[in-house]
Amino acid sequence: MASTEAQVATLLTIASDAHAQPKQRLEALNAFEQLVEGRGDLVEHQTTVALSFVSVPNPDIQKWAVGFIECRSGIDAVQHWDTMKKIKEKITSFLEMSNTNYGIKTRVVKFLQTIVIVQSRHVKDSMTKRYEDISLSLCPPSHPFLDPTELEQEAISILNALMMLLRRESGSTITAIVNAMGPLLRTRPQYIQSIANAFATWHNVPSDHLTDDQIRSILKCMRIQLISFLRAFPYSSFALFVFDTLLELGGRQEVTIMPKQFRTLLAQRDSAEDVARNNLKRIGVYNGESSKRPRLDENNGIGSSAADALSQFDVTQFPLPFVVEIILATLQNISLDRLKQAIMHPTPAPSRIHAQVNNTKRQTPRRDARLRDPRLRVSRVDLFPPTPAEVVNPAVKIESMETEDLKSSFIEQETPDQQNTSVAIECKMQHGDESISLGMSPDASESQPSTPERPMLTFRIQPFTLPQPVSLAPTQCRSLMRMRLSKIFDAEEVLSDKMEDMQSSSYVPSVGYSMTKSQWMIIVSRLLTRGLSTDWEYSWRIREMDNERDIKMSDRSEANGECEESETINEEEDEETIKNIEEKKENLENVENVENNVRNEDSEESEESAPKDDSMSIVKREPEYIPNDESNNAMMIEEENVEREMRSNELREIMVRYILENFEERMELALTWLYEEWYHDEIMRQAIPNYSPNYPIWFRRLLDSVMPLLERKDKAFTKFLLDAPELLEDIVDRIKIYCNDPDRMQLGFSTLQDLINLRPPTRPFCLKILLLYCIHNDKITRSSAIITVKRWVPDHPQVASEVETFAKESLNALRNERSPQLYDYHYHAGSQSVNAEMAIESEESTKQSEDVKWTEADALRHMELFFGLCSKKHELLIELFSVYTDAVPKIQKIILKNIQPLIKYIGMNSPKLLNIIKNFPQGSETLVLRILIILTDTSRPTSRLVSIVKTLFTQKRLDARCLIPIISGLEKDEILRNLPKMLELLVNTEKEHKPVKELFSRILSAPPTNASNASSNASKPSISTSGAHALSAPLTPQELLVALHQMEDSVELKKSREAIRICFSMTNIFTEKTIAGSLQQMADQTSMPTLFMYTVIQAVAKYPNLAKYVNNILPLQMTKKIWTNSILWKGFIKYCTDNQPSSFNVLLQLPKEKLEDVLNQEASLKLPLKLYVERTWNETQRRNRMPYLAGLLEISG
Amino acid sequence: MLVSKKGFKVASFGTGSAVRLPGQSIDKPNIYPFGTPYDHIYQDLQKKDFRLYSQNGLLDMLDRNRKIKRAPERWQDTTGFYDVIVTCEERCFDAVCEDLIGRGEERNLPVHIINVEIKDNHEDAMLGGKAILQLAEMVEKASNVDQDMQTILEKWKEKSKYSYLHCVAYF
Repeated sequence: MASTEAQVATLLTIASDAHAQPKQRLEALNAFEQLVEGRGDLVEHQTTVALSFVSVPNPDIQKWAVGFIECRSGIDAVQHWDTMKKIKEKITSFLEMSNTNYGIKTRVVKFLQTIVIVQSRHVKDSMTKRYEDISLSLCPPSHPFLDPTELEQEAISILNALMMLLRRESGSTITAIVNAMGPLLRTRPQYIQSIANAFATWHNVPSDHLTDDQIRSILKCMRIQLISFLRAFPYSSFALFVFDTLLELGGRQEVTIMPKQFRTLLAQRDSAEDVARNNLKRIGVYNGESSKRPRLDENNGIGSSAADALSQFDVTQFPLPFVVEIILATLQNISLDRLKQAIMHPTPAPSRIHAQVNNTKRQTPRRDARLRDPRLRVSRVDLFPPTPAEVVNPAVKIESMETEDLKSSFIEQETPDQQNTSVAIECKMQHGDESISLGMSPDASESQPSTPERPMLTFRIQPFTLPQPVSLAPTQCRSLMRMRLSKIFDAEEVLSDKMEDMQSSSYVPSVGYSMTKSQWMIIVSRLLTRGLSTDWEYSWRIREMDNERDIKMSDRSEANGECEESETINEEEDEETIKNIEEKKENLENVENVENNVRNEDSEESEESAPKDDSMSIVKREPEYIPNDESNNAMMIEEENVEREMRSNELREIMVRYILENFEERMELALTWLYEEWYHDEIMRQAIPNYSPNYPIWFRRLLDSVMPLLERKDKAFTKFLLDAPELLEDIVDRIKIYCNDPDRMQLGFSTLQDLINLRPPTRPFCLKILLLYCIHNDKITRSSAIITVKRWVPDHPQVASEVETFAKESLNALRNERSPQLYDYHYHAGSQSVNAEMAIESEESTKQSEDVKWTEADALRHMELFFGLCSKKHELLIELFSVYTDAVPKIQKIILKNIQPLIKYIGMNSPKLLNIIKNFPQGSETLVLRILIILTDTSRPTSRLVSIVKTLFTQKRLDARCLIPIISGLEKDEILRNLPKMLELLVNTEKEHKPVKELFSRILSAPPTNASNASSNASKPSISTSGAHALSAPLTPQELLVALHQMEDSVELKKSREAIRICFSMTNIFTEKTIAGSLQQMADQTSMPTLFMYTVIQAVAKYPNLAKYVNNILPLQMTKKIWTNSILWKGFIKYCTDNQPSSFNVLLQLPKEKLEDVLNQEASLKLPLKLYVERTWNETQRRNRMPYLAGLLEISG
Repeated sequence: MLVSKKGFKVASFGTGSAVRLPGQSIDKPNIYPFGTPYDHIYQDLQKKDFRLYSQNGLLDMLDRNRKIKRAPERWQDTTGFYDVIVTCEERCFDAVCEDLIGRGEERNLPVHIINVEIKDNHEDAMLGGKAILQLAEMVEKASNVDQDMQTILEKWKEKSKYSYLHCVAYF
């Protein structure tokens, strides 16, 4: 047996190898066929062979298929194919044999499933990619020996046979068949209907030969199949049908593993069962039909030829232009009259409504806020005259009005294609004979073949007379309306978004409550706006207005210039809208004329069409409203208006409360409603000049109630304002409430930001509010506002300049001596109180402002925005310079103090900043100096900055202090040259010491690689950081100290002395060693600096250890005749006095006269010196030198 | 476990998205990703509440499991082919069937999936385990599993009184 298997495997490999010689492949196949056929009686053997064959993995089978398809000609290929067919037949026959074992059957089933996949067409929905999918779509119709149609038929009959087996087979084989359908459905979803039907049929007809457990298992498998299909194709046109079948098979058990939207749907169905029943009763006509549809389909049975023909017909296979052409050609064959007739008075055939509903539903998700803008859809209302269905029966009327209304609200969004489609469908109903070619539109291919014609025959309009309306007392009326409205609101729960999503698929819903949420919202909104506040006469007028407008819109040739202007559909500016309205007012007269004419001509029609906008009119219309009774009408209308106003406001209040219950979820409803109000106001304003609009009232009312409820991070508020139809200034003003609230400040600002960005008309007042917050006196509020505003600078074309102007203005306020009064940041409800309060406040503030001088906080709040902008746009800084020159000293000080972070941020690499420094205005020297200091605080000045400052220094005769910041950028000789000027700053006060000290540390800031210096510098952070700089400092401490001694000509000694003293105070730089080095250097020079001895005295005082060192150099100075310079000489004597007895050795080296001079000046030295000599000198020394000392020191022999 | 003790070639899997073990209350299960070693889980639970988890037998179970294999595995992540799959909960049966459909059934290898509904507690698991062992032995004895599966199941049902779900699916 094993050898057979191996043999089969080899043969199969050869046969499926596309690269092998055709001859070889054929031989292999033939051999294989013989294996299957031959030695026929050995069932065991056959089984093995078949098993091996059938267990070939799919990719191999598919490789064969591709092989066949690619092989276009040749005897070999044909023979090859024939053999293949024989094998196929043989294997299929296993299923028919009663003695075949179950294991083989399961494999054969799977084999057949693969064949069905390969021998059918790829469709758009297939889960496999087209190029990966081995299907008949790969096989050209002209293939020499493969006939696609025949093969497809074969596949369908195989599938049908498999489905038939469900009846006869054993439990496990049935589950095998069911499970084999999985991949088939994924790649060929077109078969779902037949398969699902087969499942349902199997379930409905009990199978006797199966045990309970088996039935349970089979049902389970079927359900899993269907659920798996729903998961893979949730939006398929068959999804709802499959879902229904699933429920029929007991799918409720698997509710937990259903895809989410179907779970929701199920829940909805359960909860809305009552509603559904009522609806079904009420909307008997088309829903009854649609719920019948699946049944019709089921009647078609398994593999019904019609369904198959349709499934074979794939419109998407044709190129689009071709389809369009066919549609157009067909339309041209229809006479214009008939077409018009079809559009104007369509037969209320259910399928048309379906198609329409379908269209609108598919549109729904694509709606965006812009399209909802009523300004864009002014042209739409009543494009469609009432259909006869409306007169038929009040119940039907409501439904069809909804459809009608919805249709009209979306009609302008439809693409031409879709319009074509709907027209095409209507035509089809009118002309059954032409429906074949028209049927190629996608909608038709999706809908079932038998439905469109059928209802036409069954549904006939019967004449119907309206019963007398029941009249109700006003209170009854009101309570009834209230009740109804709350009922309507209750309905929302049923219409969740999920439902809408699902129905956006093209499947025609089969249940009664098929309204989507957006439809519901529109209906509720219209009910509240137009439904309640217009009586039929007004509504007629409105309709006329709209029609008038439509005519104008379409007839451009008539339009004069003004008209054209007003017809701009995308007008953004409210101004233009107003213009538009005004123009409409002018036309009002005409409208009235038309109205009269029309009414006389056809008063019946007007009566019918009037309530079209007004679905509540059934309740509302009372006998008094007889149009011809005009004499006493005026008063009654007046009264009725007040009454109606009250009533509608009451209902609107219910709406507000309802929205507030869950603002976030119902925001869409709120917006829809507000749009309707707005639109209605627009219409009414054209009709009645002194009409008072409702929209602002209710918008305000809604905002006032919503705002306290919203949380800090609530995006809903922003979204709400962004989407609202029109923002009035006082509405935007309400945002201040948020801005003033520390917790929700961010919300306020981000809302303002979004409004400014996305709603240009509101920009002026939003920006005004936002900018005022930029000079708010609370720091946190202010900085949030500034951060918000800064985002527009410098890139936003309009806003940036406005922000800049405002920033400059507020900065310029600093020029004044007094600070301006605070703005009023509070939101004041109601305009009257605003004025009153403002008056009081301004009085108070004028009183205060008399003695209001600038405080730092005040000045700061005027500066911060500007500083913020400067950080983005450096050139603005020039403004600050000019303000600085004009400002009072206090302000100047504040500026100097607060400018640091900004300058730090800008840095010295900004060419704009450098430019400003270069050209700074007279009077702002201190500011420039401050900026320089900040710039160079922690880093070395760039060469560019250095050169600018150098120029300034020479050209504008700047204070030497300005050199300090850049000193480390100067060359050594430049420093030495300018050092005297800087030392001029010293006036012997502590205050002036500081810059010099700073100067010194800057000069020395990059220490030479002298180890001792480096380590000692580490203690001073500012130096050590810059010490890391790769460059070495321009001067070493030693050089500096020496230099300070050598400026006798240019600097007063007093100042030099101060400078030296400062050096000594910087102990960490001027260490003992440095000083010793300097002293040595000076001692080596030919002439002694005047201050040498001064330094020596200082040094030894500070570092006593140096005394020994000094005592060694001093004798050298004798040769330079130290006594010739009186200052030096004095210093010398002082040193010797201070440092006795170690200095005596030096002293004793002086020539006799000089020593005498010393002793004369400092007599106190005599005795110690004498003692020293006596003690230390030995015999020889005494002998040599005593003679001249003896006299001086009075030493006795 | 019993089945493997008797020397069958067995692998075990979970079908959920994570390993969920009972926690201190019903709404606070202990959740670990698949692949977390049993030993790790054991240590973790021991640290959390030794008394509770030894009392409800969780630690015993983990201790036993960690001796058998390193970590719990997830069915959806496996690539191997099996002849018979036994699930102990309808949920798992559904998951396995759906998963096989999703895999595409490209290998054309039939597999028997059998669900035996066992309550997920120690005692029932013990009894259920025994029943499954019985079933496995019966399947093993069969000369042609595909042919005899139905008969085996019926016989087994009579003996064990468990109801079952069975289907043939494909790898």
